[in-house]
Amino acid sequence: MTWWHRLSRRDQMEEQLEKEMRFHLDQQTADLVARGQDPKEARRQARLALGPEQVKEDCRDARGTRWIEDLWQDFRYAVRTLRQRAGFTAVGALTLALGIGASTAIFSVVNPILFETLPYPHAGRIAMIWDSFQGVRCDVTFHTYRELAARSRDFDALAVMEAWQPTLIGRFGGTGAAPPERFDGQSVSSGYFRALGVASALGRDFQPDDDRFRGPHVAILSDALWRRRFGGDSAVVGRQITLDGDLYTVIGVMPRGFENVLSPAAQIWAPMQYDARSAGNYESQEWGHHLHMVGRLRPGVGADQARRELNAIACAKVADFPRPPFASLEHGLIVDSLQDQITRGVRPVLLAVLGAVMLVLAIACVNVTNLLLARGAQRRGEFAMRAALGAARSRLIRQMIAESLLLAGLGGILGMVVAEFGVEALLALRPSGLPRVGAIAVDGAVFAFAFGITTLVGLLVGLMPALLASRGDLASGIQQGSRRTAGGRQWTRRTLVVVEVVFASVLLVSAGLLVRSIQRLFAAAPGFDSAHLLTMQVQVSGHGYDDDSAKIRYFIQALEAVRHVPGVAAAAFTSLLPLSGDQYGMYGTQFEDGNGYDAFRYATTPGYCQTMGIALRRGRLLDGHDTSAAPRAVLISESLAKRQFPGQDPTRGRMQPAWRHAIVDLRYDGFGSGEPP
Amino acid sequence: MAAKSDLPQGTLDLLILKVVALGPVHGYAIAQRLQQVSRDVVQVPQGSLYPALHRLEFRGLLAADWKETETGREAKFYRLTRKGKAQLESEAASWQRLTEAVGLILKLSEGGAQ
Repeated sequence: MTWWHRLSRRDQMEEQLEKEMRFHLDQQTADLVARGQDPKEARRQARLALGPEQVKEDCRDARGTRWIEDLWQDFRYAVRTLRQRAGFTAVGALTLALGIGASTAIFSVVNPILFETLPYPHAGRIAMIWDSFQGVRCDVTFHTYRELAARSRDFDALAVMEAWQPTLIGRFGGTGAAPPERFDGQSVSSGYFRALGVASALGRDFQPDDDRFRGPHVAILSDALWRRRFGGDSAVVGRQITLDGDLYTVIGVMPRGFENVLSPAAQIWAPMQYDARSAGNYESQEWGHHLHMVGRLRPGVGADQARRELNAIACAKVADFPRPPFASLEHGLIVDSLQDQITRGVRPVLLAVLGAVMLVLAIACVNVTNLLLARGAQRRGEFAMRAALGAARSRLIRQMIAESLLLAGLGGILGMVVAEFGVEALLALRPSGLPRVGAIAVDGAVFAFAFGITTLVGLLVGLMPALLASRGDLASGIQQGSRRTAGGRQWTRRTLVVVEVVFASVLLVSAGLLVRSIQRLFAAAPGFDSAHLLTMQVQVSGHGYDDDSAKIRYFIQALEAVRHVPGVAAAAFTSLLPLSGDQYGMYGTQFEDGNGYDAFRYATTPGYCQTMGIALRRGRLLDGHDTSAAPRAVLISESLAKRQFPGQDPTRGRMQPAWRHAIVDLRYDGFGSGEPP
Repeated sequence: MAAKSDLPQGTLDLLILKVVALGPVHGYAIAQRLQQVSRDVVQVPQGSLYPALHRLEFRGLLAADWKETETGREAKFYRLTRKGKAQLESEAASWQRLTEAVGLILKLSEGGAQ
């Protein structure tokens, strides 16, 4: 007989058990009567000898399915008890709902970022490769990539990429003019999608031939862009679209579920088509440190092996691949897994938040435990009664646990509602730079997590009150107010309060420290006045601006137009905003006796310092006379002046090649300087 | 009510199997027979007989059918399954070995223990 049979035919078995006992009693009574006993006395003796109720209990135990039946019974009883004390139930369930909901919401944010593998086949084999400068990761140059791609044997695919923001002009199909639209995109080498292990859904992937310098313009669209701008028409493959004034042939569309963790906003990709023959010209853009590099390791090759191989290549320079001093690879290469790359910046913060929310959950648990303890004290009479009627201690404990599990279950269900809203709120308030936002959802893993902690909470919260309530001399509990056990319970409750206060203090102190650091951050003078400052990005698009003078004319006109907007006090261009983390408008600069980059330089228009409220320490600011025809002039930051010209007046000296300089006070990771457009 | 059997652990099952092996029999008769055969030496507490029967039934050593007794009442008759028969044989054999060994030890005289 299977367990299922025993359970499903429970009523029938109960009936048979009853019948069997009755038969036994009747037989024994008959025997005793035959020996001359009074029938009534005979029945009494028979019952006494057998103890039918106890025997029935033992027979039920013998079935081995007893615990399931008991569980069911316990839960029905628990439902009744919780319903009777609706206020208590509501407070307990809501407390747990907050704890469970908050931790589930945070978990659903943290899980795809920290714990799930990236949505690529064999994601563990995808690595990021960085050049390094004094131990710090920095972007690679195109020629470094070329050398590594040619010499490394450990990768199935290697690719470089950079941001690309093309402007799409014209409409595909349909009628009427569509407004020009600028997209986020990526300029990639042909191995990019192979490195990620993702194939296009329509058309073809990039081929090595597409990388050819001045080769035909081709592009691959994201599923979203394809649906939005091209109506999801598969005929778009092979057609031409106009990007930045050039005609590009659409060669493919990426699949709908493709998640591009390296550039989540990218909607269009094109091969970067750098000039492989420019290796001798160290001034060429192919020697600029502005590319990210990603690679897919060959099966069976670990990250350590790849790291050793790449660094062996970095150490062994060969004649085929000349290297300038600023890309000598002498500091070695850094290899990270893609997963690490995505999570490195956010891991400590996310773990801290997860820890904090777990503390909140713990506090909620302690609160509910305390409530249950108080309830246990009230119900002592009930337990004593049940113990007197033959309930074993284990059975009483199980009963209490069933109640706390049910309470936690209610809390869990309410908690899922809290989590659902919590995730929405978290997504709305998310800091920029949070990776894998698209993968954050209340999904199966989140449900499993919520179910797991709900069960755990139910057990934890119920265990101690159950042990205490069922402890010791229950018989004395019938007379209310047994002092002996009350002492123990008070001790436990005091301990719980201490634990709760400790948790709360930890939370409070951490939150306080966080607020303090934010205060400090805001109090730190960045060197410019951020009040009433607006920033925006401007780009020119198309061949009409190929000529520098046209570009300059456009920017001057744009600046004039902005300056004439009512309410605008000052406006200026800069190639780089301080503290923006942007690196594209930054150029390395070398002093005459320098080795590698000594300073980073960016370009501004006159009026930049006034607009930003940057104070001048010495010398003069850039003005309208500092045109390309005038002697070159730069502004340098105070920190660079102290480092490079200690004890001298840098405004009197000359930098390479012949730049005059003034000092401005700018606190920034790089160094403020400027030159006229 | 909770009086424990004086039987060594596990012997009750063996005795039940042996009695049932003689032919289909109901619970009350098993109790009677155990008492008669052992000449009242073995007191099988009635409280542990039925749980033992049910346990053996669920382990598949016994099977049960509802049949009429000679007095015309319906009773639950237990019979040995093939598995029960094998179990009885192996348990009886091991009991035999055990009692022989215990008997030998008990028969040792003081001097014979060397």
